[in-house]
Amino acid sequence: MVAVVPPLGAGPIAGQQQLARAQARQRLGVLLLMFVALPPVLALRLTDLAVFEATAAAAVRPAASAPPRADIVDRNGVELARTFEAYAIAVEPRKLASEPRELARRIAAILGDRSEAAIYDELTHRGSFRYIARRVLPAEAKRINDLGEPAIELRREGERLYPNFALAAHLIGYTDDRGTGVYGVEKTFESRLSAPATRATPLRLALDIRVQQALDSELRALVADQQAEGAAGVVVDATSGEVVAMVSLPDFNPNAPGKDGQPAFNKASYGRYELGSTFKALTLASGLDTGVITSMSKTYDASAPLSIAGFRIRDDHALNRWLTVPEIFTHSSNIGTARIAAEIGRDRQKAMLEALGFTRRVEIELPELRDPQLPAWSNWGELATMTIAYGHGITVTPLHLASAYATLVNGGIYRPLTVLKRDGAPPAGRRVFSAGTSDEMRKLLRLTALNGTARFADAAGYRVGAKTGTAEKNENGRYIRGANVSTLAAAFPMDAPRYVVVVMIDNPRGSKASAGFKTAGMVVAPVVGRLIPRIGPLLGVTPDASRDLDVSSLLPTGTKVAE
Amino acid sequence: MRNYLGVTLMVSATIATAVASYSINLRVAGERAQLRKLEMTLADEAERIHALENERLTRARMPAVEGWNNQVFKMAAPAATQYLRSPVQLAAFIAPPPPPPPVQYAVAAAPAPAAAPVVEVAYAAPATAARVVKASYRAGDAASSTAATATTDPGN
Repeated sequence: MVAVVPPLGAGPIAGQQQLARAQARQRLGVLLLMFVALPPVLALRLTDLAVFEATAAAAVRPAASAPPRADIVDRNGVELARTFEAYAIAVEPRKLASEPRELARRIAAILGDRSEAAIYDELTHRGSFRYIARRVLPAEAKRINDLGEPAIELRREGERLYPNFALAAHLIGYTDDRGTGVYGVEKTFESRLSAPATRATPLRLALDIRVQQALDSELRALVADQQAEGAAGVVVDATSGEVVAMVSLPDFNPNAPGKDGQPAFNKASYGRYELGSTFKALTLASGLDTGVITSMSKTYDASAPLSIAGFRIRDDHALNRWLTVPEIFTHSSNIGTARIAAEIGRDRQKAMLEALGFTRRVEIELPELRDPQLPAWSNWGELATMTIAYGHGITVTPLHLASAYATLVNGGIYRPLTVLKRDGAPPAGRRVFSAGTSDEMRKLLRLTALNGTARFADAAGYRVGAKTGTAEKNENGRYIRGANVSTLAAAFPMDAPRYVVVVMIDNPRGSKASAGFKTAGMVVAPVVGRLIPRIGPLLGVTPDASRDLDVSSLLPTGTKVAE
Repeated sequence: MRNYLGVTLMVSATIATAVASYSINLRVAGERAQLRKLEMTLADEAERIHALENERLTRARMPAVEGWNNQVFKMAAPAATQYLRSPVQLAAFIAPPPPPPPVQYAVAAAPAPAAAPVVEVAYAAPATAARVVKASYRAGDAASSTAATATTDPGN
């Protein structure tokens, strides 16, 4: 670049020079200012980064502080399912360095529960990656690692542990080997349990593990004594609809699901049964609510079996006379109930069943639910109305019945069941029966436990109300002679009902303890009579011999309740 | 010379500041490292606690607890009558005062016990009449008398 210097003294050019010099000075000044101002700005930013925006070293948690899957706890915070770190032992057979038979022998000696032959098969498999064992304890994993075989790989896996084994297995469920819930609560709440945002807080169930244990052990003993095919039992909070205990036998060990060969089958929520005379309570409540039963002393003709559409309805404990409403209920008269149902009519019966949730699956957060079976509307004639009234020709799950009984005794308000603990006030619910009907039904149920078919369920001091139901077992639409499904639905304490207990036993054979009987009053009622004193105090119900429900209004004047 | 002094002062001040800052830096780094170590220990301990809790929960699972109760402790649920609702009920449990002892009547000649052993009785006679009687008898020995009696005659 060539600088052309203008000659001095030229007027306009001298002015330009001065201007240029002033401009240069100005620029220099600005540059200097920038040099001075920049360091403080940088210093400020650095302070900001180091002090204000910094993450404290303590805030960076080391790995594995949040569990990979949320724990499940019972209503009192006792852990029912938790995750622990176990090892999976895998092998890449192609990289095997040592003699497989010797290696198999040494691994089998450490693991114990897997046979040498099975391990040998895995070691010599043609695949590129095989599991030898999963859910191996850290100590065993370390010993296998010490064998020094390069083809063997230890993998850390989050494994689900169910400390109570089979207890409440049908409710809690289990996960598959990838850690995804496939049964029970583990399946329903899969996203809640595994989502990073929610898995740090345990999932709290309504279940009380102590109540569950009491119910489980009583039912287990009953099934063993009666050589029955199985049993189901639920304890439900009558006001809130919380499921406090739910047992289904046979059960399984969720720590090793599928190993005992039987597919899991939740009899309480998935099994459908004809629950027999327990339905009479619902029919009578409907009769009271619709005004069909005008008075408790109204009598119905039960002097002879009822013939209808080529079918005879007869009583098991036939009295062969006219019966009052309390007599129909306490002696479990099919004829009397059928006559009441005929007066109610099928429209009102259907409406009642629908309001109680008998026409759809139970409202509860479990995946194993089943639709009840009701006759088709075209087939729902007078006969169907009559048999449904005493629990035949309709199959439902025991949970359906528990929900209906909760509605029946809690003042007549239907609330959906839940497996989760409900805090605060129960949901609004929906009125099915009037409060007056509920009061009358409580008296009738109490009377049945005092001197009706459910006498053995009356635990002293707990003011139990109950209704038995014995139905012939129905399999694939055919009744099996001599095979029963015996059910008892109970609630306590009847002066202010808090809990509903439903126990069902599938095909009891009769035993010495039940004097050879297979009926609910002899088989199931004594179990409930033993169960309630065990669970009552745990649930905050204290026995009181000085309180009871006044049932004298149901009795003919001048008679007393049998002691 | 003056210039040198100024420069020396500045250099030494700089070095002093640098050393002081660096030592602070070192200490902070040391503390941080310790903190990290502590955190690792805490995480390890938490894992161990978790594992031990697993073991405790599994060993003390409800079926096992009930098994223990059934076999060893044998406790049963309290019956309705075992619950007390008022202090009055509690007071009712206090044992009533014992009845006055029945009047005892002396028997002139009590029947001897069937198989009483041989008893040696030594009587220390009162000082007034120092007469010691050593009596030995066997029950049922004397066929005629209902009871063998040893009498002392202290002199009254």
